Amino acid sequence: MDTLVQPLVSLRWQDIVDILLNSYILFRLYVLFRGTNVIRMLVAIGILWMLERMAMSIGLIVTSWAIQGIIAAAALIVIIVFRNEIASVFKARSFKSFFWGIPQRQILTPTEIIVESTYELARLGLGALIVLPLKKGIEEVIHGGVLWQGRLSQEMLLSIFWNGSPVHDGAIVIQGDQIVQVGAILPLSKSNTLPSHFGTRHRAAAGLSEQTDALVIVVSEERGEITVFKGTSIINIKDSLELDQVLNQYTGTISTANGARKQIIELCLAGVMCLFGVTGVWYSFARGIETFVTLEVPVEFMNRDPKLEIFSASASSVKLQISGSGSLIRTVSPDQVKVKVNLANTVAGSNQVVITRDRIVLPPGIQLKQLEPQTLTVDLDVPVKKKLPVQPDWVGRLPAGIILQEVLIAPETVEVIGGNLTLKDIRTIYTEKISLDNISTDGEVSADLVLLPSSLKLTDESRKKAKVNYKVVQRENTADIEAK
Amino acid sequence: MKVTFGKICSVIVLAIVLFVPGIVWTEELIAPSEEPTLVKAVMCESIQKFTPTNEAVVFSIDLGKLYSFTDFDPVPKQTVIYHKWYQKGRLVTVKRLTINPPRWSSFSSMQLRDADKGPWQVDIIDSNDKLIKTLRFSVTD
Repeated sequence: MDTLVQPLVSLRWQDIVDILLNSYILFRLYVLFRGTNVIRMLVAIGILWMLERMAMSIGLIVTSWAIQGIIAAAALIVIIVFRNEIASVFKARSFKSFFWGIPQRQILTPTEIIVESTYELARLGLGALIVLPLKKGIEEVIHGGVLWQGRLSQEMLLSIFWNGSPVHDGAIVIQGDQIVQVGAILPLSKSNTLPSHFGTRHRAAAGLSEQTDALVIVVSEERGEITVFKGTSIINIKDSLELDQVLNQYTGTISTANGARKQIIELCLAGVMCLFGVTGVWYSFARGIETFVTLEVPVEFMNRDPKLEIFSASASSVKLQISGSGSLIRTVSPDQVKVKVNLANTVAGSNQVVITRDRIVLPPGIQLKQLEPQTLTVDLDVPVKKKLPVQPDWVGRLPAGIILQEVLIAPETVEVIGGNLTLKDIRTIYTEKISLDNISTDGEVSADLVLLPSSLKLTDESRKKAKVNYKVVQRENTADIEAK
Repeated sequence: MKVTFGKICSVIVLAIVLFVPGIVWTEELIAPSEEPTLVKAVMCESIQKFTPTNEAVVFSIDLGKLYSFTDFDPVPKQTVIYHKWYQKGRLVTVKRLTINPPRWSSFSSMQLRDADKGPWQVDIIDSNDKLIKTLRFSVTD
């Protein structure tokens, strides 16, 4: 029981906001796309994702990769296949509706006007072709036509389909309570199963309904019959009540209190599902099995006095032991973690700087457990140049009877850059150790210069080597040195 | 007549202003230096009859002792010089040596221990703390 309660008790306010915000985003996506095929595909992708996580957790690596591939392909397919549906969702909504409100499917479509107008057209013997698109876009299927943008009314419908009207031969498109297009040309059906008495108007209605999810109403000019085309089904309307029922069923018009209640329950259920889903995902990411990891992160020195330079630091990186859920820890890359050391109060010389926890930047959900070292020794100094003599550093033993009498070194001096305090006590730059063991005659040897401390730099790096020319003489009385 | 006298006075004053510092400066130039002149400075294994023997730049630790020899000629007046011994840049000892006119040779020595291996230098400094010469050498096995 504690394992269930403990994570809830330890929730921060940021965690609650995180869960609520993402639940709301998911809920809004559901509200926008409900009733479309997109939402079904998204649910399928969600189930695939959960399967992928399960496969990964039990170590089915290839299965996990395969599902990842399917998810990626499915996401692409959703965008390509349902592009019209997605576009129509976004086009039909106002900006505000993305964040607030419950858009209802064709709830504003005044079906009674359509029913009355249709029967009036039939009575007057006027042919008509009325298209009511749903979610799938019809823009790519219909051609021609005139943009209308007129509020739907019986008079307007009658005048459009009046024989004298220049656009009476085409179809009209109704969206909400607006006639958005008139005189549109629909694709003709190539089906052989259509009744033989169907004319061009009926074939056009069948063609559109086959290719889209739109509902098309046809009023026969000759017979005065009303036919509704939806998908592959053809409904011969017997009376106005039937047409009203078909339209209400299609547009989803909420006409009863029962329907409203049903919608509220559906949305509440969706909201709760979103909340549970996001909470589950959040827990799997943020509160999974706590994992510890040690990262070595380079130190960033900040707020240094511009006159001073860092000549050395006891460490250039620190070891951070961080913890978090396994999922989060796996995603942490070293460049997301920063250790910033404040040098605002430092002076020239050696400074002890404490690395405070507030100067360590970690990704959200990751906690710092340990830090090593907690203090750095940083040597700051004013950079200066100094000319220093070069001296060979001989080692070993000269053969007996030989004296190394004279040495000429080139270059005799070098210019070095270093901290003022450091260079103050440095009088000579020495070469690397040069062995005396094999010297028997005059000669020349080349040796690297040794810059100590390592913070020292030569102003001319090409002078890093010195040539040492030496001259030897024979000792007059070898016994001297042996006696001593 | 008054104008002529004034002109003469002005010329005299100008001559004095230009001439006197010139004389003083010239005297300074030609006056003999008060500081002794170093004619020889060497590191050696021993001093025999006030002469350095086995001058070298590398000395075996087995010698046990080595010398820094300096010869000044002329020495205008009695003064002091210093031999500052550094091992690898660290000051080990300062030897104060008195030198006397008209010519004077002096030396300082260093007793060698095993830890003294490495590069050395001896700075020869005059009484005004001015560096006259640096001798560089090494103590090896």
